[in-house]
Amino acid sequence: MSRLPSSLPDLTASILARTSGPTCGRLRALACDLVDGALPPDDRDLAHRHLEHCPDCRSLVSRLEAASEVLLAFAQLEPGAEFTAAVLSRTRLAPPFPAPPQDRLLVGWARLMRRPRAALEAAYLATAAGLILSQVPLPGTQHPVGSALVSRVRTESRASLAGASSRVQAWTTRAKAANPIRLSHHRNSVWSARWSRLIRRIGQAWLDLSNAARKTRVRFWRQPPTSTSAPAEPSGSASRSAL
Amino acid sequence: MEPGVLLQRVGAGDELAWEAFVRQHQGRIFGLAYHYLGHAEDARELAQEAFVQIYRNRHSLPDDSGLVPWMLCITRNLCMDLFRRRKARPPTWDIPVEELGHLAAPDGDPEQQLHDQSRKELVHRALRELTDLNREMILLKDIQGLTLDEIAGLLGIPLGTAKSRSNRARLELAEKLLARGACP
Repeated sequence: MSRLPSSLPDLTASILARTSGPTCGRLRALACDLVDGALPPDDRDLAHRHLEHCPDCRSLVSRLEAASEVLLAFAQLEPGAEFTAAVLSRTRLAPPFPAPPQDRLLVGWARLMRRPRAALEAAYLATAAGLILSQVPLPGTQHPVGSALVSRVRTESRASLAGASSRVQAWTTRAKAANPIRLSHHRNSVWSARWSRLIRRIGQAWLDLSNAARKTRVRFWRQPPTSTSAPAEPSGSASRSAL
Repeated sequence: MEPGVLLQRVGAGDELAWEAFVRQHQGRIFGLAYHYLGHAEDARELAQEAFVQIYRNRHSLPDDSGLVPWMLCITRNLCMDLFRRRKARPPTWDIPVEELGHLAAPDGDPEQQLHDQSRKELVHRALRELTDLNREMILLKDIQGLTLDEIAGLLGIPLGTAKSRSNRARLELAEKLLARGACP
């Protein structure tokens, strides 16, 4: 069985210990406002009642009050005798006033316009404004400006493409009629002509060689060629015998 | 002279008004710079730079209620730039606590002055033990007297975060004082 409290404060402390616990934490939360005189009357009354019976909280509040009073004396410190003169000499050398607000606006606008990205931003804004305006309905119609513009661009571009296509076709037909090989197969025709010329030259050289070989054989072996065999002899056998 | 009139004359280019303006605010600007930097000479240089920036913008100074947060914001930004260039915050402060107390102590009874001196010394030492985040909150709210709205705007954090950070910092400072076993 617990021992009975000997006095009233002990009784209060034991009741608080078995119920809400010590109330000093609540007083701490209110202490600064209490010192500043910012507590509502009811809270102030309750805080004072607690302070009557709690020496720890009384000490805390008394130190808060004393510190508040002393701290105000730290607000101004004497910087020394030379300080004012030093400030005045420095401000005498300071640059003059900046431009008044209206001029500053103009200067700021000019500086903004001189930035490298200004043109890009202006183009972006113009594009955005054009897109937005194109969606605004025309007065008296349900269609926005943008749809009329787009349909007009589409119609005109189709007509323009059709005209251009017909003109190109006419040019092509005229050119084919004038010079079809050069126009359509120019590169192939040049190569084929060169090739055929080369083949002709090789054939001619081969014939010349075979004729020379025949004359040589006739001269050294003195065998007159038969009238039937010479023209019918294949060029391949003549070249092999010559070689 | 009314603060608004002084600002108008500063904006109009009155050199005497500018000198009066500097003398009026130099202690606060230097104090903030010193509490950030922890080095008196650096703080002096930075405070001068802050005044040069204020002078350059004197034609568009905020009104009287927004002037101090605006100047503190300029000073803080310069401090943060310096930290970024150095890539580190200084570990300690170089002005002795006694000197700090003497510089800011009002004239009066010597016994009272001694008492004030010891209180400041105690709080100053506890302040040096805080984390950078908590010290900044104490510096802006409890030392410079900015509102939580102004601090939230200055630091770019929500108002609730500024409030909870401020409360945490003050409680940490009070606990440091409790741990020292003395009440300032």
